[in-house]
Amino acid sequence: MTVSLVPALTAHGVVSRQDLPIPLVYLLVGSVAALLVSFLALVVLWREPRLDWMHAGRPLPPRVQRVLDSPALRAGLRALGLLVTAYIAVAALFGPDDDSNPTPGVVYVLFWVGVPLLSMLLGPVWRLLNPIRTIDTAVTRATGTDAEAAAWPLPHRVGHWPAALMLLAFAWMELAAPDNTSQLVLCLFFGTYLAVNLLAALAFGSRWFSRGDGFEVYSTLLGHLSCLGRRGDGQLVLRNPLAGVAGTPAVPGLSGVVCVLLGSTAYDSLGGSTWWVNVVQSGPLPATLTRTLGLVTMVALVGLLFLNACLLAGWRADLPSARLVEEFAHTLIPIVAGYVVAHYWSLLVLNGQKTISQLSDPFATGANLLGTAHLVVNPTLADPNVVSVLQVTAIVVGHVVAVVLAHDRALRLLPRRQAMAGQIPLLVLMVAFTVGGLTLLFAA
Amino acid sequence: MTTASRPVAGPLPPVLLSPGARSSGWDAPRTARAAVGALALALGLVLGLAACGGTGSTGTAASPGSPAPTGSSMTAGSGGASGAPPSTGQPPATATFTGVGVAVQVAGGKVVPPTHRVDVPIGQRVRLQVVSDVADEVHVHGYDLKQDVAPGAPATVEFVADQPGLFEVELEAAKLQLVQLEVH
Repeated sequence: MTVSLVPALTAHGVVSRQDLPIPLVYLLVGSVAALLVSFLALVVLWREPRLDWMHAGRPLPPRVQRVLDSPALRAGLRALGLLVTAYIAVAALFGPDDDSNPTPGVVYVLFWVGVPLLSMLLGPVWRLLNPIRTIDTAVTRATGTDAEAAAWPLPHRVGHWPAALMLLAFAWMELAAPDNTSQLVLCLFFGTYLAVNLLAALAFGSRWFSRGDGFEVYSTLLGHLSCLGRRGDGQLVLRNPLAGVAGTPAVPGLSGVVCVLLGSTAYDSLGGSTWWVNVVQSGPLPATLTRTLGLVTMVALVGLLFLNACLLAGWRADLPSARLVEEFAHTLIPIVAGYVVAHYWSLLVLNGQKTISQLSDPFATGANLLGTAHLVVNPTLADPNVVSVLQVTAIVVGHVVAVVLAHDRALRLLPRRQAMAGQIPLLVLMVAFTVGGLTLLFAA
Repeated sequence: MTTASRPVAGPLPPVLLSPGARSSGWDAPRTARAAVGALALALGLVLGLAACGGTGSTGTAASPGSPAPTGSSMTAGSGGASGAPPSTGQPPATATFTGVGVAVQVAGGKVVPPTHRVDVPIGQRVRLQVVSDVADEVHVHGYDLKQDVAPGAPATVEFVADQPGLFEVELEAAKLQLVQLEVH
């Protein structure tokens, strides 16, 4: 389904079940056992809610904090984001529309996979680089208005829903649209994306970006997994990533964002299977429509399973169901992160290097603008054995962390006598996602 | 976007964290110990199973979906078992060819045999023979090999599979995936 993506390799990369160190069934049994044992250990050892982002963490030395928060560094990052975007835009608009153009690799590999991975390590990096934010600042400054000021208030209930829609639109372009690597499609998508977000930011103020800008929301959510974070009192701290994720604001639509991310990755796995390829190629419907239905079905399936688990978890608690869903939505963030690593690692390593080398010669003229043109792809980090161990670890750790987060939130949210029983539907969900995810990754 | 399809009744309060809750950063040893313990336990279990199962034969699990390359994959030793000969113009697999042969026919937008996965031991030669009813281009992704194919005349792509991975072979303009090569 990667179509003629740069991806030389199908999206799930170089690893297949033959590279697994153990038969898939053993792996599934082991992973499920890991979840169950973790749950039992939590029930026995973790009896009070403990995750508290407000107070968690050890502050960085004041000098380091001053440097990280310095206006010069922030301005430098903004300039960098704008510069790189402009460079890519020129390549996209004026470069040749063929395999030599770096744009698809930049979009689908360095940006779509690289930025989330970087966010997991360093925090919400896209917030600092986001070129649309910078343009918004420039426009409001030029017109003498305040970037923060809003012509209209952004209703709270809108929340992250626009971000979920934008991410779904991107996933659709990547996984279902015809010609997903053509410059026309990419320019149309990002042109529209820029226009929508800029207008929304001018209308609702710059807080729009942290609510509605899909890519920024994605980066910020995965950024909560970083050890580097900001505490309630504003200090930059090194902290337990669990506390960081537990501090994710339960905004309406958070569930939508995580379900779009999970469902689309699951669809990408499915799309690599020859079974699905044949359904698309010989089914009665046009290929694009079949793929669209597949993508939407996967996202809906993930969403319904999650909704169901949350409603069961809190069915005797006196909480509105919409609130319940958003309160538990952050537990899926480590699972999303696990799948990003598991699913796209080899793509990032192999095609990332290829893209970096292509970036030096955006017009296919033999130029070496960045000095990377002669970079030869080094496959060491994508060795099949390394990758399969990394994949299994990422998925299992992601789900175990999710169980821990669900446990802590249940203790905080549900009446004490329901807190344990209430987690069982969520535990069943995590088990189902683990089994489904590993099976799709290694058997599809 | 399909989750929480129930409309939000009103503004949701931001997540409320009880102020009395204990700090849980690295400086809260109990939390860290419990979390690390749970993770270590979990990983240990999986890796332990991995160690036990490591000696078992791989590939026995999850056989559904395994290639079973009927009629399309052949080695010269097995005597050219190309199930449905795509066309008369197809050169027979010569006796000197050792490696994995894959024959695919495309007619009316349909791929015969249906898209499947072919196992290729790393280092083997691969010979792809494609017959199409319209002019197009065969593209082996990853190896980035391209070969024009004229209507009715078989096109042959031959190469040594020296990179591991899962590679798609596509008929470029028709956007049809012909076969997946699993090199390992």
